[in-house]
Amino acid sequence: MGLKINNLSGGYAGNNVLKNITFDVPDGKIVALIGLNGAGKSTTVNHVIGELQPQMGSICLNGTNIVSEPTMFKSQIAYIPEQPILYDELTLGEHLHLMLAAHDIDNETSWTRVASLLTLFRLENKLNWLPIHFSKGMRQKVMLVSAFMLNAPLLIVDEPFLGLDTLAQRDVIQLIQEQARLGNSILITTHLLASAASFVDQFVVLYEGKVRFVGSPSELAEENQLSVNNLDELFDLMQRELANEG
Amino acid sequence: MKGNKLFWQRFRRTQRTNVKYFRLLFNDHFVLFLVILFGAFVLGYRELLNTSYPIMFWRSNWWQVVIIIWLLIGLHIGDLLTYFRPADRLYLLGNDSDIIKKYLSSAIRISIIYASIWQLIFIGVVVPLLLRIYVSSMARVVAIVVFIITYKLILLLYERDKLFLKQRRQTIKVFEPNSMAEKLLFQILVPSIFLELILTLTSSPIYILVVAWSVLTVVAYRYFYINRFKANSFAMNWNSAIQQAQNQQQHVLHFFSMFAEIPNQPKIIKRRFYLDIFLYRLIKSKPAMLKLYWTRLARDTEILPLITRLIIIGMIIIGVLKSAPDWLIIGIAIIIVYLVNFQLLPLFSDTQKKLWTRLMPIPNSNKQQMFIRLHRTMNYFVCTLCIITVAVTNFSMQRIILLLIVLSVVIIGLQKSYIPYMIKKIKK
Repeated sequence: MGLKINNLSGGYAGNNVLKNITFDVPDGKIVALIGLNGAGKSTTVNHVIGELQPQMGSICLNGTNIVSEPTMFKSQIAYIPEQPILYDELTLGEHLHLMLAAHDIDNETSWTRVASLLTLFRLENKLNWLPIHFSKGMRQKVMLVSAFMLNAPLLIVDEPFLGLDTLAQRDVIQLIQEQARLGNSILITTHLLASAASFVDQFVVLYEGKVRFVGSPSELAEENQLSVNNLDELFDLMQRELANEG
Repeated sequence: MKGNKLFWQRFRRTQRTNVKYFRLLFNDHFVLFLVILFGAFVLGYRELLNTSYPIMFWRSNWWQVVIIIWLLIGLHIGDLLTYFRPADRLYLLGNDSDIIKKYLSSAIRISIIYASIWQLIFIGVVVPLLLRIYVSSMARVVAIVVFIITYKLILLLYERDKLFLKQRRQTIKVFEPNSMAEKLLFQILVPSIFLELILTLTSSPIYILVVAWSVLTVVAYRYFYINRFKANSFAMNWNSAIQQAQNQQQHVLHFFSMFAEIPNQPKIIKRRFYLDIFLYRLIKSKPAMLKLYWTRLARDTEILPLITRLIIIGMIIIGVLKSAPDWLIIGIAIIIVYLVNFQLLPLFSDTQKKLWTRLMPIPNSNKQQMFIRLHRTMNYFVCTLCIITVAVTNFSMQRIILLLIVLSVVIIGLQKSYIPYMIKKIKK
């Protein structure tokens, strides 16, 4: 079933950013939400993680509505924000244990996976470190580990490559693909269209708070008379269009 | 902009900010606590001075040690106030001469005024003790005032001197700036020796000592004085200057945050390994939210020290006022329990502000219940400490039973109505 966003309107107090947006993130699919700054990507993500209340429409994940069953909904998502968020007082190990406990996941059975993720991101010797000792890239890796260890039915990744070195970017793509193979839905936001085109199944283009296009990378390229490798130029086209409208 | 004009503009702005912080500090709870603390201190001090102890009690050398330590603590208070900001490195570049001659002259003037007020307060506190210990002590009091204030002036001038880049021949460098040896010599050894001499010498040598010290002060002042030649030949060491200003600002913020929650203060975390053993026992097999609250509290540098100070001072007051009536002791115990509960509340609001907390699939009701459980444990702890203090200082079964009954009622009231009400208010 996956994530279903139906006629969603919403935004921040007094500022209705999203206007009747509808799209799905089916099980096992990777969907990338793209658009210019201010198009509504972050607002959409904030609605999906329960930070904003929809003014109209619905957000359902595997039949669970975020408004009527927020706890049940949140237990099915893992989120990697653009800026890492950590408790200053908790060590890396304590963060991971806390997340597992909050999701009611048994520590012992899941730790093998956690350990392999820690090794992958070279954090295995830093379980006792406080966030103050982490670089920005390491903090982002902590967010990645704590999200990927959950194997949640919906993984939301806000700008997945920000602050990561090339090796880590490659690992993240592999992990995202692995999650999709397990049947989980993946929603990412990105500005790197050409890079994302190599691993996403669908693009959802947001333009001024509305869904303008939903389709595969090749369909998006064809629609805009671009090649898949030159998809980044789409932003130039949208920017020009916005300037003409203005 | 002229250097001194810029300084006074910044000075006024800082005073406005400080007034804001003072408003936060002198909230109803803190004033109440301060009145009790001040009352207990005055009562205890008066009782000490009026009690007829044998003459040897007052002749003990320990009193000199106490007075010297107290005055040395006072000497630490009153930083050099420059109000430099990181951007000054860029925007005031090239104005070094004006900054050195005018901006820093205003800075040193205001710093010495503030520092002198603090020194006089600290000296004022020990004057009754000095008059009680020594037969003819006015000469000593005058000598202490002269020495402490002039010494503080020299320390401030020395601090200012560290903000300059000088030519080698103009620099007297004994130690690495801010090294341990420097601090030990100038902040402890030199003042301790002079204070010890003032406290032990008889009247005539004290006058000689004051005159000798005054000559030394004039020599030091001449060395640190900034004339036009010096202002032109020195340059600002902006790294040191900005670092010093930031440290000073941190000291002020730290002082305010000892008693009140100061907004936008950068948070410092202390691991406190010595607490880990208790922490892990306390949170073992406990729900996730309770673990989170306890861990954050154990490593927090604002709430935990604040509560610890409150409890320690509260227990000292209960211990000192051992002969006070039951109602007063019970009243103080209630205030301590209430203040501990009140000071714990920011832990809830701060935890809820974290996106991580809001993302966890834990119902809000559970997040609140776990916070109330933390309060309950803290309340039991404070209640037990109050009873132990009463039992140790002035054992009275009637007082203990009364205290137990009243505190139980207060704790139930706090948990059932006050804390849930405050949580609701925070969430709004």
